[in-house]
Amino acid sequence: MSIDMSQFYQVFFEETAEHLANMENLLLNIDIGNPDLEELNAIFRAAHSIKGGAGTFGFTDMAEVTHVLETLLDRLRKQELAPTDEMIDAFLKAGDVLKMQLAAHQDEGDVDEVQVVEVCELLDRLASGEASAEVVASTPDETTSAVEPAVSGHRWLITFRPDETFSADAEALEALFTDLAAMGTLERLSDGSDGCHRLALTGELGAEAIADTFAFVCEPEQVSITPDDGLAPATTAAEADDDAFGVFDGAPGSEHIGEDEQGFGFFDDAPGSERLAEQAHDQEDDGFGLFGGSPGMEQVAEVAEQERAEQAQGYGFFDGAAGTPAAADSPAAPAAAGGSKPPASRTPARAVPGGGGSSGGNGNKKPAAAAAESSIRVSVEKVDQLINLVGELVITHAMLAQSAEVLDPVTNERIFNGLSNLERNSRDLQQAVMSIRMMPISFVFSRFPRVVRDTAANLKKKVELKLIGEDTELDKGLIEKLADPLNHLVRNSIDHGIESPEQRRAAGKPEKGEIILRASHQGGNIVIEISDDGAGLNREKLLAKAAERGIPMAENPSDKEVWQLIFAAGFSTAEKVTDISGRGVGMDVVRRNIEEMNGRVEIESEPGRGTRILIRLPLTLAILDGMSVRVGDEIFIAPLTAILESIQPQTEQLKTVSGKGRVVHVRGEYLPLVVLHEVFHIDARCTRPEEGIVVILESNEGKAALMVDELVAQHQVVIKSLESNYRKIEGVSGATIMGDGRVALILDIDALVRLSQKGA
Amino acid sequence: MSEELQESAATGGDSREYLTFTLGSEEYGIDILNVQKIRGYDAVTKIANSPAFIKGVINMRGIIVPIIDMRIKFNLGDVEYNQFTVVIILNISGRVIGMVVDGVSDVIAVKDELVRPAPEFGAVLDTEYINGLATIDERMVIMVDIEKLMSSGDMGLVDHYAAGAAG
Amino acid sequence: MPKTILTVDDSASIRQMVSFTLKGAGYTVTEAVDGQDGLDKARSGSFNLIFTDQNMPRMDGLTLIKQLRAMPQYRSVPILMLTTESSEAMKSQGRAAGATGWLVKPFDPQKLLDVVRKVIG
Repeated sequence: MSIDMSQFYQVFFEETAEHLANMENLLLNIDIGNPDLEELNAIFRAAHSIKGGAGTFGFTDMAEVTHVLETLLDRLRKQELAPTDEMIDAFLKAGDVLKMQLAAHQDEGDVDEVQVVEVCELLDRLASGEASAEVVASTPDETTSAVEPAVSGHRWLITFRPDETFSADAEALEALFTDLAAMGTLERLSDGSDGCHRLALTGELGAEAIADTFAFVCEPEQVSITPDDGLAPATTAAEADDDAFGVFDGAPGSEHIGEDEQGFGFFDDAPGSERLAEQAHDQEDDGFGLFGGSPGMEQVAEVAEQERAEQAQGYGFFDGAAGTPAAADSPAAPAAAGGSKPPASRTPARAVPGGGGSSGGNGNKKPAAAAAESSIRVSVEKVDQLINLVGELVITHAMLAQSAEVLDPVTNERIFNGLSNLERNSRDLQQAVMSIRMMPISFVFSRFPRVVRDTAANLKKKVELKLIGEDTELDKGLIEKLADPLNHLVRNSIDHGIESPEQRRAAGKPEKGEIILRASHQGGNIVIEISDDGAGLNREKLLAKAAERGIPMAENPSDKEVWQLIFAAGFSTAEKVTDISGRGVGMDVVRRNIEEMNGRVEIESEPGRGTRILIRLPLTLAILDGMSVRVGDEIFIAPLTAILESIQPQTEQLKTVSGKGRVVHVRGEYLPLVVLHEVFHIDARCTRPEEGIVVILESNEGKAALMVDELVAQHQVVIKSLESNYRKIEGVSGATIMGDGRVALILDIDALVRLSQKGA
Repeated sequence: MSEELQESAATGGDSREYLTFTLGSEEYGIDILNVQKIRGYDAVTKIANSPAFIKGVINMRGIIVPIIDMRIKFNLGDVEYNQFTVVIILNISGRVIGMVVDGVSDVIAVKDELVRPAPEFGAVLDTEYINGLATIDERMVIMVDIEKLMSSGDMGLVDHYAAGAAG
Repeated sequence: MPKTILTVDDSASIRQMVSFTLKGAGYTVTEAVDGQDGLDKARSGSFNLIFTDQNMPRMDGLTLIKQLRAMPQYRSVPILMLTTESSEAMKSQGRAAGATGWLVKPFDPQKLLDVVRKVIG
């Protein structure tokens, strides 16, 4: 059977990314001094799951890294080692390496092999180098050690001093001995009447395995396990003869003896005994094994027997038609049932088989119905397709509504009712579909504890990060695009905002600075705030820098205008360039990224108190509340969020200012006039502002006045990409389809203002 | 040689289907696999600050499709838009583009070996975008590498980096 | 009547692979996301074979096996541990808990099928 494993890759990638994020989160929260065992276990499980999946799906590089990671984690959760800061760092690095490998498998990057080797070596060193010392220290007077290799046919002397309650529980004690006996040949050297049980256990096993058995019932100090250097008892000798079977572990010699006693010859041709042998013995082949005599083996043996019976139908032992292992009906069954009852010393008491009759019973019951999953994974493309289709539906409605306008509302009442129902339903549908794409912002926020930790450590600063409103939902597309700008802003806040601990102390502030990442809904927008309690922006320095760089500034600029300078290309006020936020390269990119999401950035800052950066984003990238405006024959959409008001300017409100082109004087402010028909070279009906309408807009470049012929209507429009079939157009952020089926372009206000200033 | 060609034509070698169209006095052929559909000319939404041959964009079942007029691109005299104006909707590596031509003539099957290399000649199209020439019923058809042409920086249909990748 | 198999693993990809492979071979497969879920599903259903991972949240594989063995209907149903460790300690713990056998991860679908066919036919 060939199964294409690649069909499971996507699930593996997703679940691994989740495990890695979860692991990192746990690591960042770990209390080194007093680690929570449950958390350590959870971290271990995450690594373990990744390893299992990576191995299964053939991503051996990841399996290797998780293997060394898991080894160290295993020792931590078993409390053989105490976690150290160095280990946490190593784990985080290992997480990074795994992320890198994961990305590479998804064709999203390359693997730096040097890093991989480094991390593995580091983990290895931490797991082994310090390990032996720790173990000796924790169990100083015992020679047992987890690193003791398993010795073939080794005899171990066990001294066990259970506490009183356990001693009194004969059943529990017996169960323990049964468990031990299952591992090899158990001899009871004392009856435990003095409160101390002395035992000898012989088998192909290590002290670790024995200790693990005790771990279920007692504290480690209650048991001591020492190797007996004397010769192993004769019973092990029998084991060696059974190579043919591929006996895998401490298969006790007593097993064979027991069979011999019961008269079941191992190589006997009788089907029943063959089956018994199969049932009683451990079987092992590559990567798979069965425990001889364990519960469930009856059925395994039945299957094997049935196969044999099927192969040799001439014998007539079994009903050839039997599709189920109806063992009870077969002549061999009683023998099987009897024979399968193993010596009490070998099998756990609770594992006594229920006899041949019970073994086939389950096959006759109805299979359990698979429980309904509480969620399903769907590819984003499918959701987007749905969104597109709903968008079409909304447009179709608009077209219908427009065609129906010519009808008489009274005689066509039913059509109008139908149309309004259609409108309501498609809007609801649209909203419901859009909500599928909504994700909590915690998907981006969750990376910042790590970013802050690393950045602060790098800069030798003390910073605490507070996350607020992590459940705030926004469009998945926005979430993805937000990661980079936020990363930049947070690093920038730590680098340039938060002062060094010394400076902070001198300023009478706590040494530890605070950065708050907050998300909230405000109207139809998402507002994300990055605030720090650092030094704040320095107006004079920024202005001096602007003058130095030849960036034109107004006579007496407002703080807001000054703060916006930090987003200018190549602008940096840091006294020394660091590798954290670099040379100011990036802040302009940050703003551009946010503008691409139809968002805006605002800055508030107070010297000595800190800086607050506000990012306003639309809830989604798919729908926009807009105002349609007409210029000549063309219709454009202006985002409603940018519109402050619209006026019909009087001649005296219009002025020409040197260097700034034409301005409109509105409520005491001089706003640059953006003449749309000039920017876009359209033949407009109104060429003079006082003939047309001026829309006052809020942009990242400050307020501006946009001149158009007329305002048409307010719409909710479905945003369509121009770039999927064409390319980016300056001054236009996208397109939409109007009620009449025609395309209207959506204005990119920020770019328009810039374009217009360039032209002026 | 020509006999050989005739023979292989008869027995059927590798052949492809081409859509032929006219631009001015010349006839061009493009791989039919690049043609999504043929439609009439509708009102377009103009795109500001773009070359004249880029007429604008239209809505084709919810997709925004740019329309280019090859007649303007190649300066082929008077350009009119009426009910006979034809737009060939192309699919170029997943991008949908509308192309206005003078007229669509035919769909023809042409065997690969019948397409001969084009000499440098005075076609309106740069030889770079021409796969070769074929003679069909005494007519010369210029076989165009439409993918290369539409992805070229010359057409300005894609952002520069994309053009580089496609070219 | 197809044989029923319960696969208990906290890894969705492994679960999906196991489930897909076995369903493809005609078995009826139920998935459980951890030991507790496995126990709940085992209680409300009936299975001819159970695969369980060891390290899982809420309840690990060994505990699940012990719990299952304490239920009359699962006393002798084959239970195989899917484990990344084939260490002796793991095996002896598995044996002590009442597992019927073990299968080492990673394994490929063919291996899985071979094992299932061997165990329940």
